[in-house]
Amino acid sequence: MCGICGLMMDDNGLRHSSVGSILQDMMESQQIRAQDGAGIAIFDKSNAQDSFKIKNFRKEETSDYIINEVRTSSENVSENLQKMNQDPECHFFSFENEMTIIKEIGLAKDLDKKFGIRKMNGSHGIGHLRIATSSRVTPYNTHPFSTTILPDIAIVHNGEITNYNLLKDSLELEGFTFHTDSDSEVIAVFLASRILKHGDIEKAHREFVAKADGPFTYIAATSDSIAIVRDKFGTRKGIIGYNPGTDDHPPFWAMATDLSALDVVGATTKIETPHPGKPRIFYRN
Amino acid sequence: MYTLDIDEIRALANDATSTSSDPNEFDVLKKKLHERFQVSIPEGLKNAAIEKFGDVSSAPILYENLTNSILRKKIEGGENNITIKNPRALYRIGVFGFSEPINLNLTIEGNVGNFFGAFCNFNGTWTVKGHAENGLADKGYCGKFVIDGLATELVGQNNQATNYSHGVDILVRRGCMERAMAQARGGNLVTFGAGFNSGLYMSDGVLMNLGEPGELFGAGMVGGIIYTKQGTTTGKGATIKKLDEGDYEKIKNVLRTFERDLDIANLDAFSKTNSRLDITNIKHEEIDFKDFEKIVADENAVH
Repeated sequence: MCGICGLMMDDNGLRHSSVGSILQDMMESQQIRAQDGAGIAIFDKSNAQDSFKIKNFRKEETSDYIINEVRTSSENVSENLQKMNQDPECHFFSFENEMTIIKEIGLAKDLDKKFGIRKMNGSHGIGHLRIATSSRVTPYNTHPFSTTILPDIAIVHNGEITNYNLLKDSLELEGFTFHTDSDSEVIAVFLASRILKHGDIEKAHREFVAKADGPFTYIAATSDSIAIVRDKFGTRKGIIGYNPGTDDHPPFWAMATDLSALDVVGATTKIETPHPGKPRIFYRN
Repeated sequence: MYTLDIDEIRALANDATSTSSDPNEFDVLKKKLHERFQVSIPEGLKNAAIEKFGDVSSAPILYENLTNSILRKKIEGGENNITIKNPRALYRIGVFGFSEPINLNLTIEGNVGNFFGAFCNFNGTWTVKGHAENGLADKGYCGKFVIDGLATELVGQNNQATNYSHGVDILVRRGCMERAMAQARGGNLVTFGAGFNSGLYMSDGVLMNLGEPGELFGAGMVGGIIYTKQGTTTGKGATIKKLDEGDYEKIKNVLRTFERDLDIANLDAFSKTNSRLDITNIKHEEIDFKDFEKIVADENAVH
């Protein structure tokens, strides 16, 4: 019973909004659903650079994890990723340009205390509360998941991808690398592989829904889109709402597992549930 | 009339437990709660709250447990008219284990979370002045619910009709999402919109959708009736039929339960030849049941 959420600012070019604060409210309101891990991915165009960040977890003897960050040019990305993959104590964390992923074991409120999520701005973002089902409680199994295939892709997921092994095997045969035991990672890797292949995010989501079995709802973000996608039978919840904006913040689209998460941030106009199997995508203006 | 403000419990908990993983602070909280509400918190709840939420005062399970304990105490004391303020979408409110139906009118001033009123067995009306989440009245035996806002998935799921109960009657004013009345064995749901796969595996009861036509209604149904606007599509195992005289009588009976809530002016005269009703839900509207059809189990389907 994970909890997921996401939002896309609808602010006609004003690109520095309080995404972190709104996401944090949505996550805290859904904390009852899951307590094993919490994480966010926030996209802020002003972070974009010519180089990329590769982050990894390294397990220390104290059994704590520290996060290392390597900044790399596009020419050296493969070399740096290879180095990380060869180190057995290293676990892939994220591949970022304008995106920032923060995730850890524990509660949403602790994530904010430690990393100041509420102070993070941007155009859109996603959040996750994890209850461990098919993989262990570790920092690298928390969401959001990203990939080493392309930067700035992140997904959060509620449910199970029951044919995860088949999809993973087939993607590995295509040459794509996985870094965790989690079924959720296959969504991120699949989407990145298809974006690489044909560059069409909507088609990538549709292809995933056609191939994936099991009950699921996921929210996926790229640098210019956010999508909420439900399995073809609609067996996991997902709700979308719109906040028309106030003097304090611009209008935004919000999506979450629980309706109460939309209510807590005032996104209760234009309420809808995404049609099963049909991706509902919001693009950055 | 009794009013429980959950923010009052929250304030007590915050006062008593500044760093509330300290067991002594939990004892202080227990004492204060007992003085104020004459209820006690089980020791196991403390451990679960600290393990899952880091402390006691911020754990939603504390407020769920206390709310239900306080309500139970009041009901046992003969109170039958209760209002809850600031529910903040707590899960599992109104989940009791009374062996006999209780008499209770309950008003919730705000949103309720998953499984509001699950296993309910009451006489009276439970009103939510907000939204309801998944599993509203799940496995309910008897009672009447009025939800002013939306309800998410599985409204009236496993609605029970037994030798001792007729099932739960539910009105959802702004509509409900997927799988409303899934596996229902009785009771009635009147809703202004219903999501995909509503009426899934129904075996009895009535789902009356007064909102827009739905999609994939009645998959696998073996009994019960869905009344909905023409244009609704069915799932496998269900078939669409025209309304007959008996259906109008049945619709009248179902709407009778919500006659006041929907301010229905002309229900007595309602029939196949007088098929229009003036209904005031969120706004006033005239509904002509000539535009409706019924979905029932397909007798030719192999189950």
